[in-house]
Amino acid sequence: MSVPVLWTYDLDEACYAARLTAALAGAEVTLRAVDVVPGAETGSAAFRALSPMGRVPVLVDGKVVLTQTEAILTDLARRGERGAALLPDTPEALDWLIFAARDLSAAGRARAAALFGTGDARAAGEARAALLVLEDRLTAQGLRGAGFVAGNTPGVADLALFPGFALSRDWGLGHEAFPALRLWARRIRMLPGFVGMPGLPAFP
Amino acid sequence: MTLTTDPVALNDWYPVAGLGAAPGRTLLLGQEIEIDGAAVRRTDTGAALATREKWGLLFASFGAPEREIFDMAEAAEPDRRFVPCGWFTLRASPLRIVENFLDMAHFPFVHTGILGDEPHTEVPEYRSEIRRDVDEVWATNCTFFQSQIAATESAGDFVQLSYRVPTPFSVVLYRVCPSAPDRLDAIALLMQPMTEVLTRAIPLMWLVDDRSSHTELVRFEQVIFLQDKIIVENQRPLRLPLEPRAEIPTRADGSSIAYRRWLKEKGLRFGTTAGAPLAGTA
Amino acid sequence: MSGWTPVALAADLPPGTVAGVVLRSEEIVLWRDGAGPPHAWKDRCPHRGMKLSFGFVRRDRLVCLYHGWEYGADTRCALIPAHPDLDVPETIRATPWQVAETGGLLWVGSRDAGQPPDLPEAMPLRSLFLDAPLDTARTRLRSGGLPGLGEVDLIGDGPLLRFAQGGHLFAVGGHEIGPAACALHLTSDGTAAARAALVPATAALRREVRAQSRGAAA
Repeated sequence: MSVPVLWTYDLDEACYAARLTAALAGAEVTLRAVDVVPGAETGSAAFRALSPMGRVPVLVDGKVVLTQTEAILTDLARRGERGAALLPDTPEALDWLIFAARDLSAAGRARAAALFGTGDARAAGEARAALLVLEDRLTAQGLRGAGFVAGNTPGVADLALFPGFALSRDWGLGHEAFPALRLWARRIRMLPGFVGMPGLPAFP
Repeated sequence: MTLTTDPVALNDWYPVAGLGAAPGRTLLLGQEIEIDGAAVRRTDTGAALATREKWGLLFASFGAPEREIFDMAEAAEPDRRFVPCGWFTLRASPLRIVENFLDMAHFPFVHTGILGDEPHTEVPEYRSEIRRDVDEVWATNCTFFQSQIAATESAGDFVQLSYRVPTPFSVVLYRVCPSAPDRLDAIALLMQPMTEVLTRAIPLMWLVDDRSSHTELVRFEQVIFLQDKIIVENQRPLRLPLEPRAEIPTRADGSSIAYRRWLKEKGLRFGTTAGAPLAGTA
Repeated sequence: MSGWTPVALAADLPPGTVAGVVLRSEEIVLWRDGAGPPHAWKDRCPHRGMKLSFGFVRRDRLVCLYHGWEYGADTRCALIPAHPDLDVPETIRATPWQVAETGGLLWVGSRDAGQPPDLPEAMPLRSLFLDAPLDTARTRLRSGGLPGLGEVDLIGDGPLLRFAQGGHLFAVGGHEIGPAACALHLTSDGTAAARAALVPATAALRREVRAQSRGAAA
């Protein structure tokens, strides 16, 4: 399999989910940094030719270009030697992956508003509501002895959801009211190969 | 939200927009202002603010600052690369941000693998002073062990640093360039104090580096800066205490001690625990 | 009211972990060393004010995220990494709360709190965070229990609210976070699977209380 190119911005949570998935799956990628802030490179004609919606991350392998985060995470899991176990192969795993893409996308908009002034400040309420639903889910999972959102082992859905919670303090939502998510995030952070990002406290 | 009454804060220059930015509103020292081209006005009274242009930024002041915006000699050197790194909003006191920028002891814990690593945590003695002739705070002879001092170096070494605080709301780092040891890279952090605990920070760099791409340089600085965000937003109290006994400094905090003493001498209240009472807990 | 307040489920603080809680606007860090008992301190490193709940546990010490200052279980700062050879003055200490673990809950108390309550073991259900005053949440729970589980039989109202409902026994403590926010700490009997099945009812209570306090505010 050839080595794909991952177009990425270090401060973007979706790009982080992609780097995290590649690291945990053991998928080899060539990183290509994009100057999103302040360069607005995602708005350039050259970048739009690659990604018409003007978003990072983008995963490119020859003629195949992926611009949707969840498709990128799934493809990276498929490529990595340790990635097969991460694939969303149950209906629930797929359901929570789409929850990350749809409901928890508000967290990314809230963070962009807080950090760069470019997002939607009203998204914070929506993001908090989505995280409460996720807290309910991980509470029930924890009582059932399942440490992750759709089973006993982590999957792409967990990795897609992780930045939305782990970086919530960037937009002013502390972790005090989310004990189940705090323990779930710790389990993810302890996975072999875990990589962090600015905004996550260092871990021993 | 109202304009501060602190004369020290009022009589200083602050960046409020990039030159050529679209018209818009923002906050400065608690007061909403409107920016339209090179004009800056209070939203409530319509009164115009004094303005200046420098380094691609529009600066404004509510008062009549005695001094012009400070100079960066490096900005005049033609072979330097000027690298503005964007505007970032932090829910933090601008003074906590300056103080964090002066701090080396956090490198191994907050910038792990970039600016420092355990077990190389010791902060060697350095000199810190209030320079009366220029009315600035300086910390010199600063060194810190970095295991990856540059991408080209595999063995670790001590990085040589100096810090300069030209105004209460700005701070500059000078770093011996790994690629040109007789010259200093300059990295400035400017503050737009929106409220006492909400700040837009603007990192600007003047570098001697003909190898790295622009995107790589911006990325490096942004990653470091965002690693500090979680710190300055979660210090308690949020605003900087100037009373010596409020916190426990050590020898490594010499620059912070000098900075706080200098602020106290100036009588600055904005962004300190002596400022206006805050709503809420912090 | 005794001087002790439950602030978390004991099960939500496994060995070697750290958690922040807010009690009546006071920020508190809870942490547990490798195997031993829990600790509760003011959530603030005395050096530069960093919240200790952002730190981590290493060698049975709580380490501040900012500069790596390490605090032992006795609250003393044992290591300042910027000055590794320094014999740290014993006056540099974290500020402790009293802490106790009973009834499946972690309790904090002020210095003069006296003896903590002595409660039977209980199984964790969850901590439920509500956008409502603690009194509103307690009153709602006392009158209707969890939504959809039927009649409530109050068993007593000691340090915990105890009731039977839908074939389950519940013991619930709570703490005030602020004037319009609180947490309920629910324990129950029954198997883990039975408790997991109760989670949707707790979420329903959260929605109900939120709607109610919004209505009251309007």
